[in-house]
Amino acid sequence: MKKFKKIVFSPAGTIAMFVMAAVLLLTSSIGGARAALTYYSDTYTSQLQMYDIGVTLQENWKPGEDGTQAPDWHDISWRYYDDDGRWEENSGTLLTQMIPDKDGDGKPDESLVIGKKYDEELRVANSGTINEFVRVSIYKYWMQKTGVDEDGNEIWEKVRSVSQRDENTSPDNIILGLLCDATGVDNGWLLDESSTTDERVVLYYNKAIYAPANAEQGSVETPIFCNSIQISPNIIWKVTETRTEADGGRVNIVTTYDYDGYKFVLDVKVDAIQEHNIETAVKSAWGLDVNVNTTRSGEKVLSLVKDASPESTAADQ
Amino acid sequence: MKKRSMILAALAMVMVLGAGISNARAYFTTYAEAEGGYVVKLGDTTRLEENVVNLHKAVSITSESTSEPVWIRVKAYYAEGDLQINEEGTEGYSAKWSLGEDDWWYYSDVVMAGETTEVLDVAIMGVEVLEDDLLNPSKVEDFDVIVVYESIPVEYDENGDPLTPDWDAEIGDDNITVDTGSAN
Repeated sequence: MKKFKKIVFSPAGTIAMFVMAAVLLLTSSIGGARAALTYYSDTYTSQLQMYDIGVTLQENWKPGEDGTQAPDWHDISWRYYDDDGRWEENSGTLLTQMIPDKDGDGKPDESLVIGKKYDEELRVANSGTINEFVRVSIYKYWMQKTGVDEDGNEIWEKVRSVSQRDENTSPDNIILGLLCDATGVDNGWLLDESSTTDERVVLYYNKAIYAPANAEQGSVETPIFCNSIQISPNIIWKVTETRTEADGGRVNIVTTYDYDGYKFVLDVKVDAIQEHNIETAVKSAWGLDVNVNTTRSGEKVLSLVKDASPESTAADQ
Repeated sequence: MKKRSMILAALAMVMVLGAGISNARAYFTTYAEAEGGYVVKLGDTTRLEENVVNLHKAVSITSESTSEPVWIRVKAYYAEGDLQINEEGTEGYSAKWSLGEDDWWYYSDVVMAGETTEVLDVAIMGVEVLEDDLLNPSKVEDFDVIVVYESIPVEYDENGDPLTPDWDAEIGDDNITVDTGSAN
């Protein structure tokens, strides 16, 4: 017994036991992987392709106003792997074509018309090599110019409320034409009501969007989830009035528009996640409980579990 | 000796935890983000212009070049006599001015930045002519005609067409205020 203890507690014994532990650990992992590989061979195929997940936000630049001309979809922002296996990404600018620039001088042809509903069609496209589900978080808010930096660039800061008359509802004055509902019946876009505020809207597309390589199986783009943007005409009545006495007993009334000089911002973030093991993946990556039903045609349809959305979703991160 | 054992034990633990981490990272995600916006420009500055010639007041309102589009209305008062405003058939008549039931004269067109309304002719009646000869052409007694105008910003519908102005709305209703100017 003493001899056994001596061997066990000797340096050589300790090293030998560590090596054995490592070998056991490694072989047990390999066993699990082989079992999964054998039993879930489809899974294995999918996982090989996961490296090429990619997503692109697209905006429709309509060439005309008569509505009869063909859509002109432009890639605005994207993130996917290029052919060399590196991330290819771009973060573009929305609304550049909201007010037409037909003369091509780089400036809008007209001033922003308050109350007018402008076309703003947005959708998501799969730019990877695997099928994926997507979530869209749309933010709308106002910004105030607070100064100029050393390089002469304007400094803008987000403001919660522009006018005292707004009662903290300034984002409501940015009206989006969202195409979604709580069930996704209309076009597949699900409104996550529990994560939506007056400043943020969270949408889920309830079907997978297919990789371009799998285009024969289904659409590689989502339907449009937003088709217009409008600044509420209510803002022109948000004013501050100053009265001053002038010569001859006259009264000068100066009306200052509370929204004058403020900038409205539309910010759209698209999150994409692998189609495979979607329920677990969504729970793990987005912290959300979803149900996934498979139709007779084999298509997966996602639905939100009521009241299961985390109070703070990834949209807050 | 003990130190080496502890290091090896720690290594083993890291390996076990590392195996778990690989599972957690097995879900692949990506994202794309874009934003855009416009600066809202609101506000209007309007100016009343009057020119009195031969007992006619030519009234017009100019919207300055930085102004947003506005609607205009005008009212004139003359306590001592009568006024004939925008009399049809006279030289100063403008079809763009029309009299409302509330005695305001409404300009039919939206006044865009830098534009001036057509003249509203205000003929002053009942003024006594004191002298009217070659030396004192149309010398008349003093008169006091007050002209008041109001402007409100133009509200547009979804198609970008101007809506009918709501002059009766009040600021207390969280709706409207008016710019008022006057001259006498």
